[in-house]
Amino acid sequence: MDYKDIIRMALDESAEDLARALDGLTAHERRFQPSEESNHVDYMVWHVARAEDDWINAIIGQGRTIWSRDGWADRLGLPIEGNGYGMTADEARDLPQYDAGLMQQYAGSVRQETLAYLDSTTPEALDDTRDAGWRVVQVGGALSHLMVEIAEHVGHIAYIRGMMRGLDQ
Amino acid sequence: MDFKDIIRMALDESAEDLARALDGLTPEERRRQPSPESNHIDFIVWHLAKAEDDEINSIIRQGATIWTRDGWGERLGVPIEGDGYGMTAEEVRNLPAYDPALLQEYADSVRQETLAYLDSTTPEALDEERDAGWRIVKVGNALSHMLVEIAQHTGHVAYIRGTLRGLDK
Repeated sequence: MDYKDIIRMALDESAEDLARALDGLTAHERRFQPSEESNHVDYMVWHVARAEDDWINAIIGQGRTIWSRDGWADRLGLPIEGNGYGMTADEARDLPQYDAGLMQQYAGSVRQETLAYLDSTTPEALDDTRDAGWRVVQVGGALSHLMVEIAEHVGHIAYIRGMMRGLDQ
Repeated sequence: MDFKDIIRMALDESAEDLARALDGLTPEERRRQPSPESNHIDFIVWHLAKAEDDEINSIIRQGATIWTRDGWGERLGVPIEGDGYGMTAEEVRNLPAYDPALLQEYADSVRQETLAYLDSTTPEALDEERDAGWRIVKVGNALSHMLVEIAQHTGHVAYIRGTLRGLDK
């Protein structure tokens, strides 16, 4: 076992927890906001896949995102630019409705690329630096951040489900 | 950079995010439950530190928890054996009130042990097996799970703060 396994297992665990938290939610539940400025599930599911795409393919991979390469903005009816970071509460609330099944397909493609990247990378690459736009990061720092960011967002979604459905339901 | 750095950075990031989410919360806010079965922050913060203590000191290192070793149950007035996992909604609601600063001291001692363990462990140890009671886990898997669990719970706390205070406040 090495650092790649640690990252893979962390991503797998969050993916399972996310699937459980999303299972059977209605379109209405996916838009529920417990307070005016709270993010809804639709926003977070999009943001978290989009952020993973940015980190792996644009920042670490220095190439195009899956979002742009495969025309997902058009397919889902969502903005081509931005991953939701820094959106105002109004913008998050008014995020266009999208097809949840199609979003899952996008997130699945992103994850496939992430795992392919992990398979192909080397321990030495962890120390390479990348310009993330607002700061310079090491690849290892970006991967570690990605695990944390994904898990935190999964936590948000699971918490919202709990509010709506009750404990473990 | 190696697996230890990836884990350390993930723990640091969650710790910073948690500190930001807890900053200045009143006792009432820490007990706020957005629905009758939702966990409150006092529960989550206690559970989180206790789970890390169990994972590192009891399961991985097969020794006593800091909780037991240093008599934290008595010091905090939380005479509970488990770590909160599997508690009913009523038990969660009725968790004894505790001093948040003292709990932070406990959480810091736990983290210190976690970092000391990481410093001293080897890549080979990741493949060793441990009996976690309800399942056999590899050490690497226990570490990966801990990262995800901590980040998800940090996500819960941050989400609650958002419902109470608004976006980024």
